[in-house]
Amino acid sequence: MTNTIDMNSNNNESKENRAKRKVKRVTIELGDITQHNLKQLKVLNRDVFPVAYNEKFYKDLLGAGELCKLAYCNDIVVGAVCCRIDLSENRRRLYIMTLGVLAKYRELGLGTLMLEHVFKVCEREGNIDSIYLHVQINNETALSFYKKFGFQIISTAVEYYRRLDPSDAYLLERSLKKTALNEQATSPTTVAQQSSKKAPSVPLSTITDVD
Amino acid sequence: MSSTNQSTQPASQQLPTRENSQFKKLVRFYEQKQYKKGLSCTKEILKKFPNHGETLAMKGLILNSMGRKEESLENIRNGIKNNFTSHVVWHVYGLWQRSERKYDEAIKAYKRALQCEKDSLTILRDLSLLQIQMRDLDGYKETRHQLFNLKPGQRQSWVGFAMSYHLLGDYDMAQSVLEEFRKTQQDRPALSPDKPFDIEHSEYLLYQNFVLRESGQYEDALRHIQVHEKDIYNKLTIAEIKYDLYMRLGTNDRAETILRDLIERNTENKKYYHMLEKCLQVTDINDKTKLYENLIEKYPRADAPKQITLHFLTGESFAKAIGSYLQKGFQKGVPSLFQSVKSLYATSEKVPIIDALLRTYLSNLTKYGTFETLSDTENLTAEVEPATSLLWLQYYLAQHYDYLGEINKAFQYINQAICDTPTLVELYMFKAKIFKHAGDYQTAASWMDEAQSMDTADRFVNCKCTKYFLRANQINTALEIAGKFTRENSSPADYLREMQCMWFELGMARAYRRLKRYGEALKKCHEIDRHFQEFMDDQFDFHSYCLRKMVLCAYVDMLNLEDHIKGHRFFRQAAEIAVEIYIRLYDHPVSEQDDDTNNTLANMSAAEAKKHKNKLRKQQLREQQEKQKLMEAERRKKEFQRSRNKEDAEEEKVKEEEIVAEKLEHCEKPLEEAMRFLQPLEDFSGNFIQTHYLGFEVYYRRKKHLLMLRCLKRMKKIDANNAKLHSCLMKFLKLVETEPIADERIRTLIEDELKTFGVKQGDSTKNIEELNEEFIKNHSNSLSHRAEAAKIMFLINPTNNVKAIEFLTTLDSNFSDQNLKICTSIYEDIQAGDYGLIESSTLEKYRLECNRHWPQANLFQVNPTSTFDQSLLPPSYASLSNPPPPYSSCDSQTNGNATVLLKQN
Repeated sequence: MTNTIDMNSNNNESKENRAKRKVKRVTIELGDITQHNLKQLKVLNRDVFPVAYNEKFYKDLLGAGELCKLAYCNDIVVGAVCCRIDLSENRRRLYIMTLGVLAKYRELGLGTLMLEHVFKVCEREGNIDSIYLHVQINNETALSFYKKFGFQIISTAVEYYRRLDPSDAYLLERSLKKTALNEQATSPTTVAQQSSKKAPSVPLSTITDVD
Repeated sequence: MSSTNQSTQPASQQLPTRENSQFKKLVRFYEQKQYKKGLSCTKEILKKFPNHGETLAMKGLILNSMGRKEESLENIRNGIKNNFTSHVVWHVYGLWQRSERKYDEAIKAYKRALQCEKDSLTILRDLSLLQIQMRDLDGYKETRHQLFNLKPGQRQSWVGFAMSYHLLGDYDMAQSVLEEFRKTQQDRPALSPDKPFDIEHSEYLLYQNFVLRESGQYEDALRHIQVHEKDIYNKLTIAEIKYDLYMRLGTNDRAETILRDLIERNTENKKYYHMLEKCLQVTDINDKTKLYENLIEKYPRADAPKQITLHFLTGESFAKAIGSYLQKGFQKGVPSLFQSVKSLYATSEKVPIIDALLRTYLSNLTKYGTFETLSDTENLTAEVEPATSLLWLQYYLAQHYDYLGEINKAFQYINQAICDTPTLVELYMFKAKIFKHAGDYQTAASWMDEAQSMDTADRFVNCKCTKYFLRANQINTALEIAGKFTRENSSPADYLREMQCMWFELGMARAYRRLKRYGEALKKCHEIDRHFQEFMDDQFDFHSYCLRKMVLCAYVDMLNLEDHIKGHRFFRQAAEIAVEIYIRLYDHPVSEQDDDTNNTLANMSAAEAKKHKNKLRKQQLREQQEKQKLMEAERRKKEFQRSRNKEDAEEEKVKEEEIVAEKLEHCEKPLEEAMRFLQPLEDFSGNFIQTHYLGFEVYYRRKKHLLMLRCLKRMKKIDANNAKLHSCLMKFLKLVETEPIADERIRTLIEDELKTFGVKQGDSTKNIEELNEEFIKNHSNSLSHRAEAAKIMFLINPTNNVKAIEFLTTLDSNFSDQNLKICTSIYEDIQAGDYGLIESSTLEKYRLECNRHWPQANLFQVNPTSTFDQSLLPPSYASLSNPPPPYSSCDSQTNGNATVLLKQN
């Protein structure tokens, strides 16, 4: 447990009990981002990430289609994922800019749902080499979440987050080359089982500093 | 329009064959709305026969359709002058009157036309439409009778004939006509063996049955429906008619079968459940419980039986039922949950039960993650509720405490919910509502705007937001918000008026009144009045359509609806506002009010005041220019459209004269103007005490003693304990005491009537002062009664109001109705001068005390704009976008402090 905002810190025992118990079924699904609900994404990001995004960031999202999605839990927006295609270094890669879920709605499978959606998008696109993203180095929950899905730490970006402490970030990447894909083919399901056994209790958020 | 009957016309008015056929063409062109062609026809005929009356009249008719009113009437008059024995010219005159909505005049013209041409079907038909529109039922019957005699072969003749009797209440005659005609239908060859009759015949049968039921012949009605069941297509209506008839005739077992079928069809119609109860004659609470238990078991997904159960259950069983109802709601995420159980809060025993349950749920959800209290072993195995259950519980708790007036608790829960789930629009909407209830309309609007911005595709939220800005007197912002959903190329205000969007217009009227812009407020009220006029005019199209298409039951329903349409709450509210404003304009004519608003300037130095005035003038000038520009653009656009339109369909709608706000505000006889609204209030909203209170206030100023007395009697009948009844009665006594009535008969009548009000001791009237003291004693703990009593104290002693004000401004938590609403109205009445001049320090003291009770209320804050607590506003997105409101620049605030009749000391 590192930087979780704990709503019930005075009641740790019951919290641990609850972590082991099953939550009643919820309906989770993804939805489009439109100009009409864009504000909900802004509010969500403000709540989930310690970094603020500028107006241009949101404007660009509107045309992004499947690359950006809202995640609904029982018809309420509780999470979102935003990606873009990165063509630098003569490669075609998918970069996850943000992926996050409101604190109260974690461990319900929304993160997995969104990440699996990202994989599907890559598959449909076809010629994507890899998926990559940045994670603040102390965000262990996020690290273990992504590792379960076959991401690996490639390098450390020093002073990546100018206004956060720690300011360094790991660069995580998951290769989508044929061989790598076969290797990972079974991993998502095993990960899902793992996650129910050893549930992470830290925000599954990727943070990207854009300013 | 039938063509001329040549033979009876004077020679000078007869046309040769060529021109005669020209004339026939002209009539055809008119009927096909080819006005330009028609006009050139008239030109040709008139070239040779400039005095041909019928052609002149037709020319007038065409001009009228083209919107050239004045020319049109001149031509028609000319036509009549030249040939007043022609039915055509009178018919045309009737049509013209009709288009002017002068239906009485039109009826006269038609009757004149009929004298010239006795059996003209067209004229008779047109006349019948006008008669039913004007509810001249006897005349309608006559005309229908004539039409029936002329065209007995037509179905319409029969139906219209029967209906004219039905509307007069002569059910037997109506019934025998209908039955006679139905028999003739039997002889018609069947279209196909299984479907011998069409839908129109089915409607006919239902209408016939309707007449039978209205006349109280239930047995005949039942027989009728049984015989013709197979020919009626509307099976639902058959079932509803049948259970009703069975119950009336006491065959409840049959009614029960049908009712159970109906419930099967629609499990959410509460009427069916209540009828079933009645049908089974369940009175015992246990039987009732059992009945509903079975129904709930049979229809587990139905909401209606559960809701009904909640109303009659008590104690333990109620707790169980409401508990499971609420839990399901929280789990499912039903935003309207509170709305659907709100009516239970009227039963005071139920509130603590609900309250206790909610508390248990909240503590269990946070402790165990479930609604129920768990033991240690269960705690390890039971499934946990998802976060949404807690969220909806918090949302409900906020509404629960807001309803119970515990605003701080309401804020606490809604804030917690928003903190956990900041993406749910409903939460922001409700937060806005709490602010509204706390009297902070500005912040409420800001929060509603926040909700609106989170889902800009949701029109409901958009409308709410518009409404909240109107409540905060920010009219321009409200229009801007509303404009997101109105047609792009017209102004939101015009569009919403065109759409007859009356909640919006009422909101505007109230906002303008609060801003003391009485002319604008009255304009909105008059516009609403016009909508209702339009509703009545709109029926015109249905008189012939409904008979032709056989939608008879719906037609009779519509006639009934139209007869009472001004009883609708939208009309009532608009009329109340209008009458109140007219009374105010009578008491304080506008010139005086100008001084009022100038009091704003009182605190400024002369130079400042001048500057301020200049600024105001410039602003007004700018506004006017802008308005002009807009109108100009509008006109150009219309011209453009008109030029594009083809010759056909040139018909222009009767254009209403624009209502001018200034004229309304400066009207010479406000009390007479008020009658225009008061009369329909008395006719259609007589059940509301406010109607008669306003009536009294108007008649009091007009010194109409008997009408005042009537209002007093009506108020007493509705609510003998009403606070306002007391002040009206005292004012009345004072009036007849100081200005004795000369007319002996009226005086004795009033003396007699006053006995019923308990103000007499033997033959003499009690002293007003005494009566007022007595009243105070009887209602010592009601603030609203004290307020009226204080008005009378001031009336008795207008030179010294200190005692009245002191009595009025005393606050005590023991008062049963010490709430924001009452104190607001007291504060505003003081400001309006209802209690005479007042020391500013006294008013300030009252303001401070109210401010202590209702710290959020804008009205009692020193300066509403500056006391905006920024932390209470929606968070600003400094790095995301422009910060959200505070909107404030566009419209002025209503902090009355500046506009009071202050006695500077």
